[in-house]
Amino acid sequence: MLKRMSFLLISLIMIASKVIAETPTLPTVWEADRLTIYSATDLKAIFPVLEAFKTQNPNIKLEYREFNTQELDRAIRAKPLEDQPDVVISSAMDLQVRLVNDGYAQPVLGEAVIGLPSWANWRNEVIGFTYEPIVFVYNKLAFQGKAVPLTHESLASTMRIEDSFFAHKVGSYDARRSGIGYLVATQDEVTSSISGRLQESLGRARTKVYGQTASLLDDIATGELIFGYNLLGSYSFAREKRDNRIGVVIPQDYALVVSRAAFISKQAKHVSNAQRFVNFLISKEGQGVIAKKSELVALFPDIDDLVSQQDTQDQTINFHPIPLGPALMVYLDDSKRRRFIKAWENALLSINEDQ
Amino acid sequence: MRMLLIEDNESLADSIRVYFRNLGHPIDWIGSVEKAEASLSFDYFDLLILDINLPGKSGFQLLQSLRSKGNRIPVLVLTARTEVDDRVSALDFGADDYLAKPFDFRELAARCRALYRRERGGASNEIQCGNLVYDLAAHSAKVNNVTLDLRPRELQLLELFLKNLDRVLTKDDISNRLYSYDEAYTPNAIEQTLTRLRKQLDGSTLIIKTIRGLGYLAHVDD
Amino acid sequence: MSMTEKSYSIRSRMLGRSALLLLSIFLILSLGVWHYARQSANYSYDRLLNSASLSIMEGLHVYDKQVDLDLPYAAFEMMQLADEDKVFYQALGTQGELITGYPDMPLPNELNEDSAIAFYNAHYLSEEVRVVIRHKRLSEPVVSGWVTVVLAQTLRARHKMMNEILYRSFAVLFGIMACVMIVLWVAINRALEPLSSISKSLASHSLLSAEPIRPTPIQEVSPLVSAINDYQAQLLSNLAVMKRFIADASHQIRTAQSATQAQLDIASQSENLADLPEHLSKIRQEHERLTRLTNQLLTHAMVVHRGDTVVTEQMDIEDVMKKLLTECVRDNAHRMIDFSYQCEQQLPLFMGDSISLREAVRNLLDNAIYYGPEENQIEICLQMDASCIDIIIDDAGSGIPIEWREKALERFQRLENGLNGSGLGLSIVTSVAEAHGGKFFLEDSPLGGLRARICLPKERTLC
Repeated sequence: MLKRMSFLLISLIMIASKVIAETPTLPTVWEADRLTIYSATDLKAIFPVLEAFKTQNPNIKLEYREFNTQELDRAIRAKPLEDQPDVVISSAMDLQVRLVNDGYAQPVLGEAVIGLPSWANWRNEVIGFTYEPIVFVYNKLAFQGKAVPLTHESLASTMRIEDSFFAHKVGSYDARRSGIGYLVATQDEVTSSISGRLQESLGRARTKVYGQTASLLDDIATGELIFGYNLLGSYSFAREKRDNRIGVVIPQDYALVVSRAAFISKQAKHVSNAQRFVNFLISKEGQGVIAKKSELVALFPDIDDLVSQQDTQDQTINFHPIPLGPALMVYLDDSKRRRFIKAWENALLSINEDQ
Repeated sequence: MRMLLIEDNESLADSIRVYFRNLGHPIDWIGSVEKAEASLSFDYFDLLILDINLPGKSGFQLLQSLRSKGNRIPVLVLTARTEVDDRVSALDFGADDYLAKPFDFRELAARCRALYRRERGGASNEIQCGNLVYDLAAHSAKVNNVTLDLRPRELQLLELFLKNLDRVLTKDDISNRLYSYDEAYTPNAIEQTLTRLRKQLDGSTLIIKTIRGLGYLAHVDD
Repeated sequence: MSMTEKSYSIRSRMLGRSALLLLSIFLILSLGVWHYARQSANYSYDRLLNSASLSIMEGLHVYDKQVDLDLPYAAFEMMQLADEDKVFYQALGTQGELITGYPDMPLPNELNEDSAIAFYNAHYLSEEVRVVIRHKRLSEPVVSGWVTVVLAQTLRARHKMMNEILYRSFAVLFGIMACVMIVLWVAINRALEPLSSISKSLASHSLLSAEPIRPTPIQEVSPLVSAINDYQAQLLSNLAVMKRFIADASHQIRTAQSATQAQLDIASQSENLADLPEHLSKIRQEHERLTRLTNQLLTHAMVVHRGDTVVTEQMDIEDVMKKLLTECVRDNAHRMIDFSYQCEQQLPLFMGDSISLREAVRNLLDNAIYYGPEENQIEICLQMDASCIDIIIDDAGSGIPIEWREKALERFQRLENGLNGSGLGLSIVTSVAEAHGGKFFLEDSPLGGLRARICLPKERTLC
């Protein structure tokens, strides 16, 4: 009798936590108050969001681990199934998509998912919850009295013409080391017809490559660099607010938009908490917190803000959100990647081999 | 001849009583089967005139119970014309004769006499048919008390007819009774005998009819 | 019209059966639609898969003495048309070695090198997938052999498309069925409308009124209307005959009654006792006539009734006639009438109603006696020929002139011969003859008077 009672109790809890099918072992029930997040996002940037979630759900103990994008991908693939985290967040949308494609995710439930724009949702299994344009960053002092290039086209030609002005003073992500750098570089190739020319110009300017956005921004602020190409908007806007030495430009011809992608692990031990968290990310409150308190850019309310921020640019901006979908996996193909990196190295790095 | 009339129509019953009393026959009248059963059990009657359609038990029921008790009293059934089937069943149930209403009282009286004769024929030495009296013992016949001059064959034939009143007798029937095997006879002989008998009976109430193709029938017309 | 059969409505039965039929058609069509939906979804997305695999195959080329794949972005964009489906791919070199892609893709059980392309379903990474495998022969100077591209896609879009086609087709099918049902309902109602209009007009219409039901222009219904009208006409004519019969009968009865009444009145008023016997004899005459009339009316009714209802029985005509004649002779022994009986051959048993037949012949004998002269000759003669058995009653009376004979057979048609009669006797005989499927004739008798002949059909004899 007692046995049956306890079994009933367990069943009820299982139903309540919507984990009937996915629950591999019973301990899940006893650890229901935890949530593990693996993320390739600066804790500093996302902290207000986590804090807001914590206030809403004081019982849930958050466990947050930070990785860089490629490490995160490798970590997830390397981990045994039973040790998988509950939620995985990364701005490397391509890697996230490939993880989902390979069956690491489970569907996000909830009405908020339906409201997402189609590019920010694939199969309801991976969702984008931020809206981070890829921007140009420049040193205001260096560009005093000079026109800041507002389009990719004008940047390519300006670098060509003012060869000496830009030489050794341009920085960008290292496509080999930075996941977001690779994503943006490959998407440039997909989106734009002049990406080849631009790469060549960048190579001629002997562009320096970085693994981290922060050090790139630091160098631009100090004047070590005068121009940063293809930087993540979120961090750049955050820095621009604090540091008036730098300026940010959203390219007018097209602006790639990266959306931080999150999915719930198929093997998640705390599925209901994970569902709650991911739904919080795309909920009104969550988006509000992202917009107002964090260094990230929210999906919904911030586009107008972005546009108004650029008050110097009265033209409409052609935002080009990178859609979540299997096409992102093309450049993750080993031979395709080898090929691209080789071409990228040839274009960007061959001239300053001596470095 | 003492009679019992069972009839529910009082006026008809009254007329019949008057008629038979005038003829000199005592007749009792009863209106229902129930009462009749009682009086039949302790009284003696020579003849029963029975109406079929009676209140309460029907005439058939009385007839049936009488016959089942072995009572052989002659019964004349009175029946309504519509119930044509009745006469068939009446005879089946053991009635001796029937008469359909309405009837001629003379006919009723004649039928009653015929029935009585048939009944008495076995018991008495005399057969009386209207003005004809036949003495079975003496083998002599009288009409209006005048003895008829009859030959033995004629007497035999008369006796045969008297014993089979109102029945058709074929020539074969007659020859079988009148002649033994070794006696030669011709149909003509019977005709001649009959012709003489008829002549002798002239003035009597006995009529012997010839039905060509069928035979002969004797009837008392009184 | 057995009572065990439950009453039912044609309308609901027809509707029910049509609905059942439609339902089965619906089910069969649904099966077809389901098949079609599956086929077309598979067909569409197989084409997509095919083009994408072709595009990938074109990305295969020899580079630095090795087969290499430059995965075309276009191929994946194409695959993204099925926007919710996962994509798995693999490229194998000439030795079957993995060039790039997922290393452990499910391969078909038998690799058929002959066909350049094959589709199959499989299970991969806990998903149901549709796979296309495509081969291409490379014949470069350095590398030659077959290279293979395997491309797989999950089935979500296919299912979605299939469901969409199914839902739409079902909606259309359902709509059609509903329309057909409505049309059927209307049609059945329309078809049954004449029935209810006839029953309405029958309900409001007395069968005894002389007016027939209005003829209908509907061809299918007009036989019913005319049948009802025929029936009504027959009923009306029977009714008219009956009315006339009752009128005639009451006329006859009342006339006789008034005559009796009159004689009674005269007798009771008469002061001369000597006249009384004369009055009484007249009263008796009238009464006899009344009795005879009553008897014949009742016999007539009985005969007609029996003709309608009584089941026939086996009867021996000779026996019946002999008994009848005996009875008749006994009752008329005092008359100067010569009776004779003639039957040349043995008659077979006859299926008939002996009671009514006996009544009929008794009537003929009574007529012969009643209307005949004092010295009469009456003969019953039974004959049989190829088609019928004749019961013949001959008399030596005055007969009926040939031009009156037909009239004599009608009810209450008394001939002006001065004798009293009901005028029913011969019509009773006619009824009985007809009830037995036979005929009744009045002819000349060789005895000089009338010959009445009842002709009974020989088919009703038992041999």
